[in-house]
This record gives sequence, structure tokens and C-alpha cells, in this order.
Amino acid sequence: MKFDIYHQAGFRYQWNIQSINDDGTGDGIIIGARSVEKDKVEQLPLKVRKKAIFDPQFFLPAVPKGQLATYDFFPHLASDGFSSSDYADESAGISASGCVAFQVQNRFRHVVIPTRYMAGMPGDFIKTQNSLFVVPFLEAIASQDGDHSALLQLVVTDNMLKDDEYTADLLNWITGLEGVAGVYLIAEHNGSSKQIKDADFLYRLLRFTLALRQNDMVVVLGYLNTEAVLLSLSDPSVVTMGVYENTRAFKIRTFEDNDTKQRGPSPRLYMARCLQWIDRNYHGAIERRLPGGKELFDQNKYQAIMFRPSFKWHFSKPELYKHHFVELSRQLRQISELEGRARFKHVKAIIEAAMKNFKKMDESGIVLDQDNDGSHLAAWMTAGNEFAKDQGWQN
Amino acid sequence: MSFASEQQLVDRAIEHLPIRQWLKMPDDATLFQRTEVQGLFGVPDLLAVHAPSEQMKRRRILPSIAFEMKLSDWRRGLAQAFRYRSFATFSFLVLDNTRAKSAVANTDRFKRANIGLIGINVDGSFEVYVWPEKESPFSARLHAALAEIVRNETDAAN
Repeated sequence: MKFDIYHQAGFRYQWNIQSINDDGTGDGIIIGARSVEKDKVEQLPLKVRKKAIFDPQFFLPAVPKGQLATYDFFPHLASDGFSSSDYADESAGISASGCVAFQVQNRFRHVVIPTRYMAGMPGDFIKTQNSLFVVPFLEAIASQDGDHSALLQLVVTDNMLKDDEYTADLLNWITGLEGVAGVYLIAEHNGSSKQIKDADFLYRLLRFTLALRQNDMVVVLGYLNTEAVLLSLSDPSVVTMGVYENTRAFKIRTFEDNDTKQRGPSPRLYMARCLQWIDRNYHGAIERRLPGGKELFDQNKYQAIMFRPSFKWHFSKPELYKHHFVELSRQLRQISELEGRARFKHVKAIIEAAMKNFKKMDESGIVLDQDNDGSHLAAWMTAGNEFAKDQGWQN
Repeated sequence: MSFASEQQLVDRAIEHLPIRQWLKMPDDATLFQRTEVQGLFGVPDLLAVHAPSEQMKRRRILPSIAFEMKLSDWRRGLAQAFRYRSFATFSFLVLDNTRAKSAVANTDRFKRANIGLIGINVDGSFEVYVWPEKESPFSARLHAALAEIVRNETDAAN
């Protein structure tokens, strides 16, 4: 089936909206409560809200970081200081009613049932989620007039995904929940590199997503970077893309109070033919050393602006991200038109072409570091091939 | 005998590598030499620049050598040294010579990347396995940033 492209929006949400409106790069946005204050969400045009998904971001219910403090239904505020022992009995219902009413009144596309972030593979994961959020939210949704599509938010960790028994329990739980139309799935990977280079993690995420889809569930894959191209093989309903790195990879530390401000990253440009973001400082080497290197840079109106001599490159310039949205959404739209084996063949061809481009760079004496090179692609190919073998698409 | 720390390797390189000679500098010319220079692309362990005299200030490209120094892990070192080519005319990876065997077996990669490879010993003797060709920096903007650093620091010193 075709999938939608959503923008995982952070505090630069206006860039996402502009990109969708001006360049047709997506079907809607996911609004993160930590980044956008409540009043501003309510003031967004109805046409934006109707296609949007609101992410309450209750991951750490005791930490109302950033704009979360403007939402009176955030657990810490609704309960006058979140404490997990009392919350389920005393405040969960109040918080759920407020959050559901907010989502319904603003006419978002789905009603999201939030999740509490739990590291590792806790034995009480399902019980905790049920008591804190799932049961109270389902009750609050049922008390609203009309039909509302409920999405269960789920943050799966590396460890959870890699344990067959644990994922089987999760699938049983989710598919047994009455009134839940689908899952807003966020997979947290422990790696420190900017791209996911763990074939096993990607393969298991593909399998988990497909299992949900085979149970007729809507699956929104949140916080994706370029691996959206690969994960499209699992027939998701929605894939996402974002502006800054914190919207392209889920890291719980960014929701913690003591998260230290990091130095701004070097500006990097998404190069669709390489399936990689490549640091601006390497562009000169690519242009000069690689025969035909200039052709690796995708041409669009934002590229034209960025490659003017007067352009001041900085990671906070919107052109970098609007360029990324134009190019990645173009790739994703083409993939979305295809299904099954044909989709796999197309994705495989894109990955193989990117690998060839990195090989050419290497042969031309361009030495990229591990956050800019093509070292993620072999892992993607392995994951894709394994998944395709399972589906009988390899022949 | 191997180096006990990377700092020891850096100190020995500063002491023994004939940088002025490599930059073809006259005896009276000013050598700008700094360790751990920030604000460019990567942080070279040592950066040496032929600082321009008053008459040479308009010179378009400053002759410069950036060094990455590593006890081991030549692949990472090569990638770091390659970054420095964005602003310097030469870039070298300097390794502990007792652990340079694997890098020396891959000199073709250094040659292809036009990055120099040096193995240095604890007694200060060294071998140049790959000598790079002089090549203008890949980024005019970063070279200008380097020139600015040199100008500011040499002006402040005068």
C-alpha cells in the first residue's frame, strides 16, 4: 500500500509546514508537545491540524521539559508532581481526559495514547503502560462523542526488538487492545553514529512493523532519518522525516532535565544519491577529486541558494532542511508507488547506487569519516535482503 | 620501544620533524606552529604555517602542514588527516613507528588520498613512508579561516 510522509516537527515546525505547503514534501506533521506551546498548537490553521498527529511526549512524566510545562494535562502538572505509585489511582484519569479532549477539540487525525519511556526490557512494561496511560486514555476516548482513531505510542528499545519473546508479548498485547487502530512506533537505537549501522536492529524493526501491519494496524514510524527508505519495505502507513537530528533519531536524554546543551553540529547536506548527509566541508573534495562529482549534488531551488558564494552555511539555516525534504520526499514518493517485490527491487537499486557512489569517492582518494561515509549501507542491504528472503522477494 | 602516550608522540614530533625545511622557509621567516587548533575542520594535533611577511600578506595560499598523531588506528587517523586538507596544503598522519606496519601495508590508500604517512620512534628518528604532493586546500573558506587565525595570532604577538 502507499504510505504517507509526515514531518516529525520540533521547534522549527514552521519550516515543516512551509515545506509541505510550498514544495509538497509531506502529508502532515507530527507536533511534539515539548517544542510547541499549547496556545500555538491551537492557533495552527485547521487544515494543518486536521492532517496532524499530536505527540503528547509523556515519555518522562515527571519532567515537564520545554513547552511541556504549558500543557496542564502533562502528568507532572495534572498530578501536582508525578509519582508512579499514586498516579494511576489519583490523576491518570484527569490527565487522560484533558489530553484526549485537547486532541479531539483540535481535530487531529488520530488520538495518540502516550507512552512512558522504559529502558532495557522491563518485566512490568505492559502493566505499567496499561495502568498509567492505555486504560485511562481508552476510557477517555470512549467518553468522547463520535469515532476517533486511537494510536498507541510505543517506544521500543534496541533490547526489546532483539528479543523474540519480548516482541511477541508486545504484539499480543497491542493487537488485543480494543479500540486501538494502530501504533505510533518509535524505535530507539543505542548506536552513537548518525546513521543506523546495525543490520539486526533494522531487520527486526522491519519484521515488527510488518507484523503490526499484517494485523490490520496503522503504523506510523516516528523519528526516522534516511533509513525511512529501507523501512518502507515493511509496508508502514506513515514514515517520517525531520529538521534537526533530535527529530530524526529518538534519544530519551533530550527529554531529560539535565540534558546538556550540545555545540551546534557542522552543516551537512542531504545527498540523495548517497543516502547520506555529508558535511559541507567535504564538498570541495568531492567536487575537485571525483570526476563528475558536482553531479552528486541534487539540483533544486534550495541547492541553488546554498551554492551561491554569498551563502553563509550554518546548521540552523532552513535551506539545508528544505532541500532534504524535497529530495527525500521525492525518493519516498517513488517508493510509495510500488509494492512488495517491486518496492524491494527499487529500494535495493537505490542502496546499490549509493554504495557505488561511495566506492567511486574512495577510488578518487576521498576519505570520509564514519558519520559521512557509506558504512551504513552494507547493514541496510543485509537487513533488506534478509527481510526480502522472508517475504520470498529474492527470486 | 613504543610511545607511552599520544602526548609523548606529539612532543617528539614537534621536537624532531624538520617542519621549516618541509615548508621551504627561509631562516628569517616566521613559523606559526600550534597544537590542537580549533575552529577549522577537525582539530589537528599540530598545525604549522609559513606565516606571511608584510610583503607576502597578499599571498593567495599559505604553505601549511597539518598533522594528525596517533598511537594506533591508522584508518581513523587517515580520515582525520583528510579533513585537514580542506584548509592546509599538506596533511600527514604520524604514527608510532612500532605500530605502523598495518598502515605501511596500505600506503596506496594514503597515496590515493594524497595524505602523508610518517612513522616516528621514541628516540625521535622517523621514516616518511608517503610524501604527499602539494595541493591547494579543498575549501577556500576554511583556508581563509586558517589565514585569519594566523593573522590574528601573529599580529597579537607583534
